[in-house]
Amino acid sequence: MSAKTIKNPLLKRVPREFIGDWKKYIIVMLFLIVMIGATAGVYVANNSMMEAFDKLEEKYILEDGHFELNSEADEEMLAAIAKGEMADLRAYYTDKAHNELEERFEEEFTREFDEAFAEEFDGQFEEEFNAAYEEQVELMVRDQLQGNNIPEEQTEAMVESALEDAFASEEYDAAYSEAYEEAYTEAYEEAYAEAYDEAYIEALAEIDEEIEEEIAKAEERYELNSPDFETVPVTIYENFYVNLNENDENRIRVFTYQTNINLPCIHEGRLPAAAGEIAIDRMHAVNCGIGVGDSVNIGGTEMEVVGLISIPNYTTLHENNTDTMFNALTFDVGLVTDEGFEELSLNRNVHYMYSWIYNTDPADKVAEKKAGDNFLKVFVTQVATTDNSVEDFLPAYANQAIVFAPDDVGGDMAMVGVLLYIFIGIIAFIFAVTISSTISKEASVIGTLRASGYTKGELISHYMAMPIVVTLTAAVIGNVLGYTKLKDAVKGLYYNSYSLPVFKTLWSSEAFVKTTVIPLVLVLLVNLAVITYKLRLSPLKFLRHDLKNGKKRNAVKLPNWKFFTRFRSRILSQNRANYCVLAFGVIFVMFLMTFASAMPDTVEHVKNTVGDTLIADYQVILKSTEDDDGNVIATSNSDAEKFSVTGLLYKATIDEEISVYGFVDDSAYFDLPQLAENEVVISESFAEKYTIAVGDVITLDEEYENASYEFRVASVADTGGVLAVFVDVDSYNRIFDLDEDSFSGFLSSSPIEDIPEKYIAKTITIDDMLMQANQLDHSMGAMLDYFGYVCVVMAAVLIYLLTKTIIEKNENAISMTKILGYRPGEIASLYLVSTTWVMLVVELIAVFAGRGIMAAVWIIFLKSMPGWYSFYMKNSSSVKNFILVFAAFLIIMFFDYLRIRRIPMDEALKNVE
Amino acid sequence: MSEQEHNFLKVVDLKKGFGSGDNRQEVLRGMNFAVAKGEFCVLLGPSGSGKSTLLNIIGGIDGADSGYISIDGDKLEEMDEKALTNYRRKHLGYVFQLYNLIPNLTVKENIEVGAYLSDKPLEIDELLETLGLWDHRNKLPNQLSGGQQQRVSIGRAIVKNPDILLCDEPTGALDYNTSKEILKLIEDVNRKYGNTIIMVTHNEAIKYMADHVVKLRDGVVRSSEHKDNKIPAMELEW
Repeated sequence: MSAKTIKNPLLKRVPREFIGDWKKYIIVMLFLIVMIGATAGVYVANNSMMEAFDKLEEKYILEDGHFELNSEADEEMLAAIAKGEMADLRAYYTDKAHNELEERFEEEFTREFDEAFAEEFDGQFEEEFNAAYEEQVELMVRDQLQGNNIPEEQTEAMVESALEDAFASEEYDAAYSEAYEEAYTEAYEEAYAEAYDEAYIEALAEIDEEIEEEIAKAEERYELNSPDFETVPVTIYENFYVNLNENDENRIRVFTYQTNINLPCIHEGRLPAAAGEIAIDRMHAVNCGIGVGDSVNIGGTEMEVVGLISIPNYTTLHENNTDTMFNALTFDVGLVTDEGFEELSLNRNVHYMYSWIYNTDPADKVAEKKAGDNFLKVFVTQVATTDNSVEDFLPAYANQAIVFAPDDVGGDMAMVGVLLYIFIGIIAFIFAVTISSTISKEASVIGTLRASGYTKGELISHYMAMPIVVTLTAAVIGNVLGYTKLKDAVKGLYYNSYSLPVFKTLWSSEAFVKTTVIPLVLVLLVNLAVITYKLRLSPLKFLRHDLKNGKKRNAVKLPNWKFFTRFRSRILSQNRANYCVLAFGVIFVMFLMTFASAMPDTVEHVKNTVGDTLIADYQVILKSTEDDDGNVIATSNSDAEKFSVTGLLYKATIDEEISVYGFVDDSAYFDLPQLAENEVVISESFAEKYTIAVGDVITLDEEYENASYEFRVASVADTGGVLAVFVDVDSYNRIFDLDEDSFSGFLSSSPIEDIPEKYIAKTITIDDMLMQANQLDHSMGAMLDYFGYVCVVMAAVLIYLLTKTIIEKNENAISMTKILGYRPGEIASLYLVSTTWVMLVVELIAVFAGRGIMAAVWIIFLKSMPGWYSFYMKNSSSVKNFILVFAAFLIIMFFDYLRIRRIPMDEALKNVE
Repeated sequence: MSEQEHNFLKVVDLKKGFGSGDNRQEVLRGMNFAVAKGEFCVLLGPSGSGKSTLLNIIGGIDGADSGYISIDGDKLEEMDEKALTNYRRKHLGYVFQLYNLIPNLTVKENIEVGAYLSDKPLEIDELLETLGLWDHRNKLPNQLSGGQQQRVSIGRAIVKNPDILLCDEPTGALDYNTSKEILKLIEDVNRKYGNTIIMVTHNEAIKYMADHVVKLRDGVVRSSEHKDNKIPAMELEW
């Protein structure tokens, strides 16, 4: 006797089993490798990119935001902003106004006083002097005439004549001038002193009132009195640029390269070192066929491209933050030296942009938003205390050129994960079917092993070994490929759209778990369930090949059909379990093909129909509803209508941004029903995505603030794919605690051209709605075509594996029919025609079931992504899918025919031995 | 031999039927006999006498309706499925009429399949010599004759040195000469390793090589006879 050192000899079967049926396992493994590899590639590349995005701040010193001023800021202003403290607007305005008053008051007052005083004094003095002079002359003339006994009539005439002479005399002029000089000086001094004080006090009061009004406006607009305000010290860096033409056909934004913020990542070449050199964005350069060493015309100056770069604040080339999509074709960014910039910017409109970095890094998204809000208060108050003015203010979290790429990269990972699990599901299912068939074939051996004392557990482990080994091997190879070649392929996909920095591949535990652990667990669970079920029978039943649990049923009596028909019916009946499995598999594949067809069909449908359901052709959202002079912005467009809009979050699978619209009464753009308090109309897309019905109560939250709102859904409106809630403007203002005349912008059927661009935050047109559909089409269209063909191959593999199982299961019977004298063609017609019947029926069911399931899965799938598209699939796509799968089936049938031909006649005899 | 050893395997009032109602068929109608330790016992009877059913119940792969079987004092009916598996694993060896070898394992590996189950397996190479399979040890089952395959099947059963070797018509699918060789092999194994052997057969001639012959008919023991003058397997004629 020997001590027990024997390893389980059944383990040796696994490699032999693999070699014995290598075609099958290689096909399965290849599929797994491709799927796992591709997914691992996506996870590794995307995770590494996400990590790289996170590190942009640290490695490339990505700005926390930037602002642009009308003119260059002075050191004092920048220092004040950098402190992160709000300016004292009242003190500033008061001080400034008082100083100005001080400077101009005396002069203005004296001028005005002198004019008024002289006019008033002259009139009054002349009257008084003339009266006194007349009285004096008349008295003197009468005294002289009284002594000469002149009659009274003559006396009056003589006095009148003497007065006329006196007023015309030189003595009168001399007396007048002497009296005037004396009286004027005395009266002026007294009146001036009195009026000056009074006027000064009045002017001060008027100015103070104006200042208070201005401050109140600013406080309301920027919530300057918010109790949540905290100082946000920042470091500010100059980041000036000029917008120029590049080779006369494109636009380029030229910066000087910085050494302390938004550092460039050099992909090829080097940074500029001389005035005539420029480094430009790699993606744009590739799109335009520009290489290092080429000469480009930048605003009329020939410059040499010395480097291809990416800069962290332009990971996607968004020319304006309001652009829905980036534009790496006709827009570029470039870096030059200080001297180069000086030359290029000479006599040109320089954009005085300054980037900032918080001295204390915000801990999270909420903290970043809060810091941004606080810094805005600091910024506007500080700028207000200067002669400068604001052109732009954009924190990084709201900068599309910074956040678009990470948002997209993150979304893609979710989608690829779902696809992998669907594929793994199919593979697990193919394994289970194959093993189930193997167990039936090996019933005697299993019975013997069980009778000899092998436990069910040992046999389950044994049969589990192959799927586990194959999946594990595929996962290892797939991961290796994913981490090497496929990661680069995935990287290439993104690098063909985005201006990403170079990133290092990082070990991703998420990639490992999702591409190795979860597939293994999936395969393990599916197979464990099937194998455990198959091995539940007693050893005796296995020994007797009695693998049906329960009573043996009598054969079903068939009608008096032709012999071949009855034979085929028996085959159908005997293999019904296999055909069920085939049906399930084909439905599964058809479901995937439905996905591949439905996606582009839906995008096309959106393109064709979005115009019919738009709220308005133009939605102009303003940055501010007041212009620089404080006047409410208006438009002369006769079809324009004010509206309000804001974004809230609906917290479900993801935090979905829901637009909340407020429409004016009797809006020409939206027919709102009568709504009770807290009642809203929601968009059909919103209702469909989150299965919200009329009468349901929904809760929407502020994204960065601790506030939430509950609404009852009154009705649902079809509004072109937007996820939105609609209320009347009064409710809107009440909900968000706004003034009754507040609004966000204009809805219009025609372009609004009389509002300066600087006041417009965003204009949403049909192009914007379509741009997303176009981008989806561009990003996924080709991939989905490819995916569709992969599905056909998958269908072929599935049919191959399952019909192979059916034929192998019937090898004895086929062999026996051959012994009896049936020709291979007849035998093939018996087995293959019945399978074809099944296939036709199954495919028809699959086409409809695939659509049904897809429509349901569509909701789950899109719930993991922002936005919504209603499921749509063309009937012709279903027909195409049917034909493709059936063609694949016919090819497999040909191979099956060859397989049937190859079954030897001694097969039946061998097994009876 | 102690009483315990004498009654090493006890079949007590064993009954077993199949079906129900009018279709009910009693296969074992109350069987009683005992097999001593190390004995070569032959269960003899025509088709339908219940011998295979009895063997399956002894082997713990089928259950009785009433009565019981005890092995070395342990009643099988009291064992749950796990205990029965362990009982088969530790104490039984099975040889079937069909060899049920694993097609993609070699001769030696098929025997290792049995050895793996035992804490005290026999020396495999020595056993291969005993079985006359040394030269074929690396062959796959489909490269062997029926007799050689049955030898492998016996090897697989006895390599774990079981207390009881159950043989269900082990020569049923073999020709005369090969059958005699297989019977001799079983005889040798019994002699060499001292296992208790219970062999089901319908071949009357085989009773002459047994220590104990139990004749069955219509589900009952017709006779249970211990023999002193055994004939070596190779001298049997039928």
